[in-house]
Amino acid sequence: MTLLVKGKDAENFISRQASNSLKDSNYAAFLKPKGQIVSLCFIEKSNGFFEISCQNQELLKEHLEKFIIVDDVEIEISGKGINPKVKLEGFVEDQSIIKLVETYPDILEKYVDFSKGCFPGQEVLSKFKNIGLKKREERSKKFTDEALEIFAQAKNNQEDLDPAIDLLKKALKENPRNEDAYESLGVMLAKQEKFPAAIAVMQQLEMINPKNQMALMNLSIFYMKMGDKETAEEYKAKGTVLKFEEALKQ
Amino acid sequence: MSTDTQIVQLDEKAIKQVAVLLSKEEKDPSDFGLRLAIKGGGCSGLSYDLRFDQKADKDLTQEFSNPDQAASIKNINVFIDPKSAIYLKGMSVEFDDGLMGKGFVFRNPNATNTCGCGESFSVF
Repeated sequence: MTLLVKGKDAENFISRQASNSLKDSNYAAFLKPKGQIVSLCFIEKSNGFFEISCQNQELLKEHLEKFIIVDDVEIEISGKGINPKVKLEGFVEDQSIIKLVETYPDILEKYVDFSKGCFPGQEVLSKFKNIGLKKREERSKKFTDEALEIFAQAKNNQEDLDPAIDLLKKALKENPRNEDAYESLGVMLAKQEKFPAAIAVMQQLEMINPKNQMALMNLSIFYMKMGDKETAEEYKAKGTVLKFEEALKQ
Repeated sequence: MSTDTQIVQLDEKAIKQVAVLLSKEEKDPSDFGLRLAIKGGGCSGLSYDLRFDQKADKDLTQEFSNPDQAASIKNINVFIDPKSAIYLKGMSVEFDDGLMGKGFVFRNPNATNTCGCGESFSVF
């Protein structure tokens, strides 16, 4: 089911509540002032009204109606099915958006526009982005650097890599977008001949940055080691094409 | 600069040749060294990047004595960034100056697959 938001002031009203800029269609979160999530949504503009697809329409309707004072806005629940785009595993009502970002690091990019006008929860998010997130990125980098130091000192014994691997996992908990940590972790797991685990890590890196050449090349190598020549060649081809594209740009 | 930790080996010919090239390019050996790095690509997946460069903050440094005692450059430095080090550890660099000499040759005892050009390898 979706929410339909109609009325002369619908656009202005939604704009003041939603975490993202309104376009023809966009993801947005509706938050409480301290950053707890009321709803994660997909908003579509259509024929002068807004269609909000979300997981808990009644809760969102009740929440938004509290803010209608003199605005010419009407909110009704429509019978259309929920847009699968907003199904998020692990989502818990009233959860802090900051907590959710730990599991889904791309939430900020997808659901929030920091340059738009005010919305509830904006202060919490801005603080997190400017201070909290920076601190986590710094800690993540520090753990990664320490892991690489341990590797450099290791006597080439596979067991010696475990402390480095643990540090890289810590680094990724702090910053799930730390590409260096993914790459290093994948390579170290491969050195321990844990190729399925190494592949899983490199695939996560590829998801975060499809243009990361080292991810593609390492995946090619790992699949080759697993005896899967076909997949190895696919990744190698991907990496080669990317290399040419980047060379042409220069 | 001294050696932080042993990542790569250079054979005597390679050290001499690096010193000769540093001299030719008029690079101050106390400031410039040989940078070894890894990049994606190449027929076997990964390629070496080799150039003269200044030390960067987090670089691992190795100092090698020039076996050519008559040379003006007594020591050369090798710089490796920590991320490249996870690929390069255990590698040896040799200089092939024979009739059919290839120049700098990279031998990686960890390499399980190399291509005919000798410039690309995989380490697992």
